[in-house]
Amino acid sequence: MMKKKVIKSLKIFSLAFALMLIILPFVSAGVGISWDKETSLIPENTKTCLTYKVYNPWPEDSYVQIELSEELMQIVSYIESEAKFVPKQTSSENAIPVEFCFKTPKIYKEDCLLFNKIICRQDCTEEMKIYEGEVEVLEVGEQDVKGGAGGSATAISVSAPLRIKVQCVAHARNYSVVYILIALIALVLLIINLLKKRKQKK
Amino acid sequence: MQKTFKFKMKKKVDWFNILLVLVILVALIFLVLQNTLFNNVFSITGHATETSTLSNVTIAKYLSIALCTNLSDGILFGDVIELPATDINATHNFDGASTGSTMCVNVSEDANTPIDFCTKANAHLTSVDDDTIGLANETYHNSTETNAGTPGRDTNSTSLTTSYVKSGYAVAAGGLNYYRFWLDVPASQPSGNYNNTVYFKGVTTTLDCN
Repeated sequence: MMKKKVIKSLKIFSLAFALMLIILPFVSAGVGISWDKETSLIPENTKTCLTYKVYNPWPEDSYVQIELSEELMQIVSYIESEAKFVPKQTSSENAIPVEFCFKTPKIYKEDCLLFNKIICRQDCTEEMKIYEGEVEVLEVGEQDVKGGAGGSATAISVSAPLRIKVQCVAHARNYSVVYILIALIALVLLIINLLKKRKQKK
Repeated sequence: MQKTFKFKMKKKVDWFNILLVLVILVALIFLVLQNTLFNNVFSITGHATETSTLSNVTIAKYLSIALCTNLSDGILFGDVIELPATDINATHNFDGASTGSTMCVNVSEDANTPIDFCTKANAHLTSVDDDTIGLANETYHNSTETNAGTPGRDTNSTSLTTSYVKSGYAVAAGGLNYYRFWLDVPASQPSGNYNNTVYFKGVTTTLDCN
């Protein structure tokens, strides 16, 4: 009697377990991205860093790599190239920050009086330059087809949009160089006069 | 008389030096003004007074996906014995509950934005000897639910390409996107083991696949 009960319980348990295997879609290592900024306004010729976050709410550890789309790569100055470890059950609240930096180029033309570089003014009449792309977080696990059979290996990633707007900073003509030059000439003359005076005294 | 002349000479030189010092001072003052006041002077528009308070909001978005185990193991088509072969089913096309597919991508419940899926392959299915089965022969279909007929091998099934194509729209947090894959192998295909990699990317619904 007891034996029958045990066998029945085992059967029910096995059935429930098999049903669970069928119904529940078991998951592999996952990847997540969290961000609170999609647009960044950066003055031209300036270096700035942005932070996105990665997380992994799934039951397996994962390694991720950050990639930027082609257009954004034109101005990137630093990006972590090594795979980052993201422990299992890392929620979006505990997401791990990932930093990358941009150096915006000098884009907008200045109106200069000397040598195209000195005594310049910036009117900012040109259209704003925008670098538009995405930040992609790739899971970098093994990508082999299991069992060595032919077919397709699979890989996942998530991405978030990012726009870098290059800001033109308008300014009036800057005569600083002229003032510095005048001050230097006057200083040199002053020193010469003082030296002459000292010699005359001797 | 000589004393007076010396005194005058001394005074003349002093005045010149004083002038030079003044020139230096004026140049320095202008230099400072150029880089402080002159830069801002034209922005002063009136004598209005005002008070302000900060208004701030931060909009954060987060999304996460994972492959179901059977999809992370790869898209397997088994051994093909007879050629030509059409519509070869991937091994997990029908091994789920109600003969549904067990190849799926999960959207985490720890996400606050619906997700579109993008799919692509890196290359044709290629053997180590560089023979290829064209990507046009590897087709798929997707759906947020699965049973014997869904996702179906119908007019909506698509060939994989090397550029990302959307393959699932606005899948909510906690949702699933199921896939089925099929392969055609032409009669003239050399024997061998053919492989490639298929990518699944999750993006916000506002973003193109790129």
